[in-house]
Amino acid sequence: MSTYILAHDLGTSGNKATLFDEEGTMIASCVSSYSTAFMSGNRAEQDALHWWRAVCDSSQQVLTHIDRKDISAVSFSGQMMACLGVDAQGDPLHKAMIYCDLRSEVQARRLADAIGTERLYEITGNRPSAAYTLEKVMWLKEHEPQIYRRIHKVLQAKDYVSYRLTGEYATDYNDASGTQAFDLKALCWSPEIFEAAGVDPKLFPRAVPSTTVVGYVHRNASIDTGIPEGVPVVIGAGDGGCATLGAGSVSEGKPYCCMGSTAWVSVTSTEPVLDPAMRVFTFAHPIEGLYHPCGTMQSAGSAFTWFANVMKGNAEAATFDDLNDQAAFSSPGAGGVLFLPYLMGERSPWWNTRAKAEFLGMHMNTSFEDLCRAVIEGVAMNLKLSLDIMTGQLEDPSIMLIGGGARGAIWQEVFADIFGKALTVPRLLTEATSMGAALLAGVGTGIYPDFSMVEQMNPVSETVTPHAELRPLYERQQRLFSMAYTSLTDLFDAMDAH
Amino acid sequence: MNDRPCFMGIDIGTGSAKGVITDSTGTVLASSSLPHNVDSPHPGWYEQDADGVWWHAVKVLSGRLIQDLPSGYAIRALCCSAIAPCVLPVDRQGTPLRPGILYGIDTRAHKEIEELTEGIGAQQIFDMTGQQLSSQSCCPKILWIARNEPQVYEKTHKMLTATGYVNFRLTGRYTVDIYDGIGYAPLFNIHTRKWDPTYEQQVCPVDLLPELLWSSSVCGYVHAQAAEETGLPQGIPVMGGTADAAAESLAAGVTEVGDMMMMYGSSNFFIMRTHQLRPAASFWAAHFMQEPQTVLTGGMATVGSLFKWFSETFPGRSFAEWEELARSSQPGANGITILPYFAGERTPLFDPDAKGVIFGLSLRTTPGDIYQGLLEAVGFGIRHNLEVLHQQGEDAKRIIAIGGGSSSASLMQCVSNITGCVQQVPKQKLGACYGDAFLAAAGSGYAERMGGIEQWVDIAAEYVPDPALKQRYDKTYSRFRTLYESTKDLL
Repeated sequence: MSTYILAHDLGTSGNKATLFDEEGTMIASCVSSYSTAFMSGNRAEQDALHWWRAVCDSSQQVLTHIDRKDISAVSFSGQMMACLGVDAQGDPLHKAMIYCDLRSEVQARRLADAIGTERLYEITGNRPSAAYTLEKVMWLKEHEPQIYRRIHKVLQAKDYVSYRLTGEYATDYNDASGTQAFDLKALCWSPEIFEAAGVDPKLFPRAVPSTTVVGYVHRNASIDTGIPEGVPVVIGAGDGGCATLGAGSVSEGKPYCCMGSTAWVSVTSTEPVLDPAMRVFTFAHPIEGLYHPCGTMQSAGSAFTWFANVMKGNAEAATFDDLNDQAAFSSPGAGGVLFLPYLMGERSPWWNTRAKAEFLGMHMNTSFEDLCRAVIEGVAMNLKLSLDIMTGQLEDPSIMLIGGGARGAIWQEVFADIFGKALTVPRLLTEATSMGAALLAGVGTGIYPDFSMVEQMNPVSETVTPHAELRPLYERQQRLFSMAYTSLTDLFDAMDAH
Repeated sequence: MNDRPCFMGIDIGTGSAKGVITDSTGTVLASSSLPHNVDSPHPGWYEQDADGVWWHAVKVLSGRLIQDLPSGYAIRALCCSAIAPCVLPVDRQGTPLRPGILYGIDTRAHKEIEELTEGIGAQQIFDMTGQQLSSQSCCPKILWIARNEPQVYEKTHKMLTATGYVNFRLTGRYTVDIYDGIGYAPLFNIHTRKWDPTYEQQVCPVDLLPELLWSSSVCGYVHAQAAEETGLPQGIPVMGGTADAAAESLAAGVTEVGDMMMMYGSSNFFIMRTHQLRPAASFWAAHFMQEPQTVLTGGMATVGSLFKWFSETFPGRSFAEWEELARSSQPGANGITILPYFAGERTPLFDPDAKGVIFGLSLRTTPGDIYQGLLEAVGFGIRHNLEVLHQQGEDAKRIIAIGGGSSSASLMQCVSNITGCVQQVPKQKLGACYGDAFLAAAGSGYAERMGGIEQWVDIAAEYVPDPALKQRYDKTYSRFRTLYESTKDLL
């Protein structure tokens, strides 16, 4: 008899159900999509019932690959920072406001004023932002009081699905640390913050370690999903936390970079990283007692494809691989061109929604290839700033690169050179979040001995060594990069005032 | 002899020469052009053979024009202009001792420029000629010949420029026009308009330089041998002539104080008539075609070359398609600001190390926004020049736009909206040789002296600024200026 783990990854565009066996091998996966309604006023909503339907459909489908009686555990990774209020019967009271719903700017400011930005950062590891759950709850209280009054619990995407499977309300430390209401050091909800926010603390579910079995699949859920009744459900973690596990960052150090349309760098630490300038933020690690500070940027891979598709005259869109090939024709330093990648403003390290992107240092011999390379170098230099803050003096000799953007050889080379570290690339680049969820399920139910299982699940397939001789060049570029941003901030501010 | 009078103008450019014959009202009777080559025997060196290229062009074009001239006309005067300033050493017989060294594109004398500037002092040079030394200057190149080709230098009787050489071949007289005098810093005294021996120890005796004269005055008369070689009537007057750019500005109709020729070529060049001589660190001051006319000249390092770079770097669209895309953007380019300093900048920044910047990109930016930003970059660069001119006490009252860029309605309207200046585009596209024909007519008394070019020049298009847009651009212009100041030390 075999043993399988079912990992659900509730992303922005759909749910991916993946099966792993007891050796950690990926057996099958399938995706069921759902849509996001973007509306004026920076609103972005999803229907929680669509989440559930996607989980049901993808479960039914993926289970056709095995004998479903062999399922031994279910767990999740999920999009974070959402706000979904359910009533006493567990029915959604409204469409879920997802992480990129920024309607609660006013509430974020009010919360910051009430408790103090620094204090909020000190408790939660995160700066005040309209992106977080608590600010969204404040918005509901103010603008939809009749809904707010009926809220029994506020749930994240994976927590809602977990509730539908088991009938139990819970969240995990990692997801909780993305709500702006969680005390990162004490690992519990913060009464001080709830008081400042004027929100009832009872609305938030109990927070437990990510490996906790919160319940068992009940009869009705079994009928809908095809998962046998009684299978243990492990609460899992947020997608950033699960990616951290999948990227092998399961003990102190071990930095990694996840490169997709956005990108982040993260590392595992034993304490929250509280930067005096608040340039990075910290989540509770899915492994109890650890933390994973993060620096995240808005436009990484998306900057690259945006640039090329906007500026390439011919109608057919250039592929990622075409662009990589072109960038390879330039040389380190991109012929003197600097790119500041702030096409959507920036989060880490500047936290400036007004920032804009630019190319600097162009001349008559600047080529399209130089500009392509400058975009890659700009993304890498921006990530390097956050990486330095988090790793500090802890000089890890290597960093792992995951995500869809990791597959270009030129990206790997530039990242290794600019980070000044050996870059390791695992065999599977885009499965890290699902793998993280499977690890939590496996460790939580005893199928996997411990988190070092990840090395077996996703071994390093390639190591890219930095070119030592390029160090002086890139150190100079890195200095210019920061100076360029600093010298343009007044102009960014002036633009916004217009 | 009841033949009607007509006038010949010939301009020798870098890549070709053009000639025209007009009547005394500017009607074109014949025109022709002749391509030629530039030699570059060494990186940074650019030369042309004085006989094989310059004099050859005059002979061939004269012959063709005379052949094409309708009957009933008689050529009464001739005037030539050429690339300037060039350096051509000739011996006592007026025979070239080496190929002519071309203007600013020839950078061989960079060491001599530094030495002279250091030895004499930048301020002293400026006080004498109103200039700083650059690759455009003759004196460092003369010094270069003295050092590197002593056998040439020893035999040198006169140092001529290209116009001066063809004028010598036509008349036997060694001359250079006063407009071209500023090319001879620091031997030309811009205040007395005479050669000044103060620094001849450092360069060369002023005796080696030809006689200075006004462009519109008679330099001499076509002599027998020249008449035989060219087919021109013996004895007709030859005017002093000038540099190609000055002749171009005449052809554009520059007449009054405040008139400004704005050349949109691969780079930008302008000549503006001023109230008085105003040596200024940001521009080049010069005397013009006759007393007491003065000008300030200047220009941006890139216009056409910038658009060429852009369309080659982002291929697949024609300029018409790019302009169409730009129309879907809006004034202000949706927040895009571009510094056009892809080849450094000439006036008024004089920053050869300045670089190109595209500022203000977001995920919403379209290709049309960027092209609109490029058009606006040219407008801002010109506005910057106009503002600094204004600070010198000189305002452009009428801008006459010429060159390839003047045929782009998008660019012209954009520059007018940003600068708040009306721009006129002349119908006549013959350029400098047309101005030469006018100088020939005016100098020989057949056209109203220098005032009459207006009657010669028909306006094909006029671009009137939109005052509301001008006001909107005030903000984006200040962003443009700040962007340079914020980034200049970085790159």
